[in-house]
Amino acid sequence: MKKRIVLFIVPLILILIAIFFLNRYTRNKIRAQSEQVTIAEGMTIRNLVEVSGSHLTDEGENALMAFLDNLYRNELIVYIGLFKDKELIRLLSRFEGYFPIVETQKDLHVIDSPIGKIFHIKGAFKDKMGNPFYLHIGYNYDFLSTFEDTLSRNFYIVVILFSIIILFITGLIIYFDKKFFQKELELEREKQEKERFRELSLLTSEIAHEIKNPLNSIYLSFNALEKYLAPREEALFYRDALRGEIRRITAIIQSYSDLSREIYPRIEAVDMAKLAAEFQWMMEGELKKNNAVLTVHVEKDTIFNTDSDLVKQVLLNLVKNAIEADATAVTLTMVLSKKRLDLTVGDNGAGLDEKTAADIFKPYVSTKTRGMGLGLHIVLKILKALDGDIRLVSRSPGNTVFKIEIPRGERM
Amino acid sequence: MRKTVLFLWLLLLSAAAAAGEEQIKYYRVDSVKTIKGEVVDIKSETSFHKSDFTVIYLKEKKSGEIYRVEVSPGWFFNMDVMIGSKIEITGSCTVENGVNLVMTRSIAFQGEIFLFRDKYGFPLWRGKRGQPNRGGQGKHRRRGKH
Repeated sequence: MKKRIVLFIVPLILILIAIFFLNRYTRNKIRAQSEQVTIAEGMTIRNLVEVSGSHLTDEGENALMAFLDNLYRNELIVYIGLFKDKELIRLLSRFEGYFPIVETQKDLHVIDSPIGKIFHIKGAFKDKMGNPFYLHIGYNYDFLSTFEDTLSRNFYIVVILFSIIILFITGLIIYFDKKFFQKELELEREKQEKERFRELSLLTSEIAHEIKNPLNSIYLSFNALEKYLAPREEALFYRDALRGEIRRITAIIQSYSDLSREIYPRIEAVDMAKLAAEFQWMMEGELKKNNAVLTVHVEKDTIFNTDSDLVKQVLLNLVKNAIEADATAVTLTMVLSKKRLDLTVGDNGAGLDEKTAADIFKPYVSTKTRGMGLGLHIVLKILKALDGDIRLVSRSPGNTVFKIEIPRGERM
Repeated sequence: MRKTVLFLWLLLLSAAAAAGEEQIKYYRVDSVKTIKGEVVDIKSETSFHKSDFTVIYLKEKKSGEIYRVEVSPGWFFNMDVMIGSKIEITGSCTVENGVNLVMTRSIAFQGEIFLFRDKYGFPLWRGKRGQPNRGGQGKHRRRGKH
């Protein structure tokens, strides 16, 4: 990322430097040419003044003074001073006593002043008597400085705007690039994970399938052997333990089979109150064993188009999870509307920590030491098959709540 | 003492008479010098068609000569100078109608330098290009040499 920023910023700085020097060069060029024009103009004025002055002195000094007064009407003239030999006989200055003449300076020169540059012209002429006259005229050619200032200001405005726009665009590019890049990475990671999971599921499903047959033989053999067991307490204990373990292995294998199996819902009209009652009955033993109570809230005579087996599987997994999380009270609420079924499963179990809650629907995520962490993943898989969804709305200890939405299915 | 007061009155009368007629006075770049002395009077007079121009009468330390020091319009003069103050004035020095006239460029007083004109005599109270000077304390003062 830093490399990308440098790649954007360095050319920008180089462009700005290039623009700066180009602007400086252009300004100097304009200034030099303008000064040349001004000097040429000054020389013309000087020549005119010298010729006019010489003629005017012939008509008398008053005519000359009137000419100067007339000249002074021009707002650009800062001062006019007329010397007869070495005596200053007329001074017109717009600023109190300001008449910057220095003997050593050239006839045409520029003076810097707080109001800008002043172009000083000195002209000389003689009257009939041969008396020398020297006329000094200073006129403001601040328009050039104003022009330069405007040019400079506009340049800086353009540069600042340009930089802001470039930086803004750069920022946007970096931001979106980063976002897109991250999203792409996430998608890639997700894809890899899915692929890995698919392979794993295939493998486990294959293994499960291979185990199922010998396990079935073991179960049948066990049932055949059962009647030969002596009715001793110890033998009965081992019988029950063996049966329990066989069931557990069967359940594990079933889970792995479910994981890789595609789910095709069979939509039918289901009486949800009846389904709830059947589910309650089905869970009775499990609940009793764990001293837990399941309370069901459901409206009676409610028909909903869905797959009853899949809904039961969802509820089973959720309630089993609750029991395994030491819940003593589990609540199941069913609310039906025209378009969907809202299920809420709450319990007073141990709750979930933040990290587990974030990954709770991912496979192999479990808080239980003996669990495989497939229950909620299968729930999600079933709900996706039903176009539904599940959310964990509360994870605090004593109040874990899952909300499920299942849209009304289309009957085949 | 009496002589000095009489001389000062004569000087003031001549200065007033001089102010009445239009003089060709200007800041002469080639006659700039520095004068040290004591303020003997401060007045608001007419100069350059401005009625509130601050004028200091300075008695030079070495020669004892009196100088009419034209400083600036009153609103631009923000110094605590009073009669008896020791000051150092730099400006264009000429003699107009027998009066030693100084057009002030700067005044050094109590370690501070107050500027009134630039080196070509442009009056700083007239402001800079595009921004008229609003005056005020400290706008034209700095520490150091002239």
